[in-house]
Amino acid sequence: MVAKIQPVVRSLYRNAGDFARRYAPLLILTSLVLLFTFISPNFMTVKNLTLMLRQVSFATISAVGIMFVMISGAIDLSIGSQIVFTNIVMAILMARYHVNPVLAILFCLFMGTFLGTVNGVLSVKLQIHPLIITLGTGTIYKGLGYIVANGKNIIGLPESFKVLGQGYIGPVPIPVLIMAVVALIGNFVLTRTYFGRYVFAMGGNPEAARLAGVDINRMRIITFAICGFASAITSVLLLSRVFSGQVFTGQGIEFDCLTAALLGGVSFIGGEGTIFGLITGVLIIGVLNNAMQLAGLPDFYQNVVKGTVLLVAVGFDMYQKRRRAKETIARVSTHG
Amino acid sequence: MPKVDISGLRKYTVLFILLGLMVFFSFTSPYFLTVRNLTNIVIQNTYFIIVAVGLSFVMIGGGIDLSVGYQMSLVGVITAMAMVVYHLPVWLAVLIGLLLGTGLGFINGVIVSSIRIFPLIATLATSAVFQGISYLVSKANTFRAYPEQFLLLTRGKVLGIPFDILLALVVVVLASVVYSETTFGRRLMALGGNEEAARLLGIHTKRMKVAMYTICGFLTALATMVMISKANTTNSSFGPGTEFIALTAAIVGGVSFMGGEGSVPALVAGVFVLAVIGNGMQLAGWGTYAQFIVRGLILLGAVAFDEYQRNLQRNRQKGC
Repeated sequence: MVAKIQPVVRSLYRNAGDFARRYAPLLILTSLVLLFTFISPNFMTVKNLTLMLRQVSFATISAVGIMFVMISGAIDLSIGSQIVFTNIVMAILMARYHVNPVLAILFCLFMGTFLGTVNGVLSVKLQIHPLIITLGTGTIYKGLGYIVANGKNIIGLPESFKVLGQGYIGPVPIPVLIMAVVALIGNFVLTRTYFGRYVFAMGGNPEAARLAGVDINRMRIITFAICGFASAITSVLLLSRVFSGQVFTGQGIEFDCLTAALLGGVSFIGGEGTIFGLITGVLIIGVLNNAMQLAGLPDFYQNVVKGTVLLVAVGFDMYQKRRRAKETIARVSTHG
Repeated sequence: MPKVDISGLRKYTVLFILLGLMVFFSFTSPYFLTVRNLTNIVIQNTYFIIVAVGLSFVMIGGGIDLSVGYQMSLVGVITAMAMVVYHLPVWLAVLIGLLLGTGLGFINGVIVSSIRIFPLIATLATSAVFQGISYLVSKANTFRAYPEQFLLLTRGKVLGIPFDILLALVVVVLASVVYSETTFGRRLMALGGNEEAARLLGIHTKRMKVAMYTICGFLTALATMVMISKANTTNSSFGPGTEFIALTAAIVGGVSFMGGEGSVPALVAGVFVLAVIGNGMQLAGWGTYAQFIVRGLILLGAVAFDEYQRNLQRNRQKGC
């Protein structure tokens, strides 16, 4: 009798674990929202929620990019510095050289993609962990941004450029719309295309993916390029929102993206992640930030909370990985 | 054509680079090769040396610590407040600072070894936490005018040599002895070289990891004392960025990013390579931000060289 029940109980446990893994972010988000609705009367208002969505939209677009890189088993810590650099260059193009905004935006997107490609090529050529590569290129990009800015805030952007970051279509802020479009496209590519499946495959097991005929090196470069492209979109929106070219725009955004991705179940080791989870992760951070602002806590608290949340998220990710590894070993050894 | 074997020269590469840079900068500026400027370079970099030595313990053990910058920020602010705001005796304030730093390192060690998170991410996260706490505690205030005794740390002299130079020297010598003469040092190299093998050899890997991060925390706190004593002022923005310089210096100095390798003299030379570049570029009037770029390039170059060496070794082992 006991022997019969045991496997059932074990599989129940396993399913409960999978359930927790899949829906934990959503549960956390729901409870946070409920909590703050009760605590603060200003939280659950259309105006506040719209503002919060706009706030998170910028980081979310970058986060979709970093998600490609992370699922493929790498990481990009240079996102913030890429934005610093592209942001300043774009501002200068429009304010000093009066380049048509459309052309300037195109140039920025191209430049971001290029910066991402450089990260990818270096990772492939040097065969060093992308963490260190992007730590190095990040410093370089940031330095270039500072040099180009030459210690000045760049003002005098064309009024027509304002609409992207500050405009609305109906009741919805434009950055939120763009975020939705980027997330949908990202979701489509990851789940419905060969390319997306290759990204998962190389993150799950690069050697197996290689043997199955996936060109790992090319894929690595492309995923980094996608990440650069996404961050360039963020850069365009941020410049339009801030409406002057400043070297502080975008700095440290990689931290939010990384935390959001990990919170939403994108694995740090690669091979796992969904856009739905990512959005949940972004919203958790957004809600926390928003609630702390409403409560009038200084920014510094946010760092403490964000750092702790990141640690918990990675810790949970590692815990799940190890637990599953143990189960697999147990299953294989009992069934021969 | 056989590949050139430069592994024997490896030990001295950093020294050659250092000498080459000094020759180069003595041409770009007449002020570079003066006793005064060279003394300045040494004096300005004592705390970088101490931090880099601390970081080398972690790196040789196969880990990494990106939080040293904000450890310094937090330790500096607390020590300064203990002296300036709460008027504690200098020895007590310094003791608090050192204990705090050691504690922060210990926390990193425990997180890395027991939750087993990739150390880069773990210390990135703790550094955000340390940063937040540092600003919360200091309320973004700047503290200045330390007691005379505390300033002696960098202004006092023994036989004409400033205290902090002697301190850095002691740290360097002690670390060399630990690496080359003690069981702990050898176990650390073993841990960094091959963790699984080290574990099978009976090395308590968890305890070793906690120990190396704790040592790093202690030395970082020591360096903080030198840094804020030298500046005679501090706020929460003092310290961040040091981690990047120390990391680059360590890698330039031949401490392998993958662990298991490193020598203290080369590490010190690595610190001076970065220092000379910074100083030389400033004298040549190339601005601070260009240094960001050069440092990034140097980091990438050094890591690439490290990797190249490893491949050579691997190929040779295969050949046998």
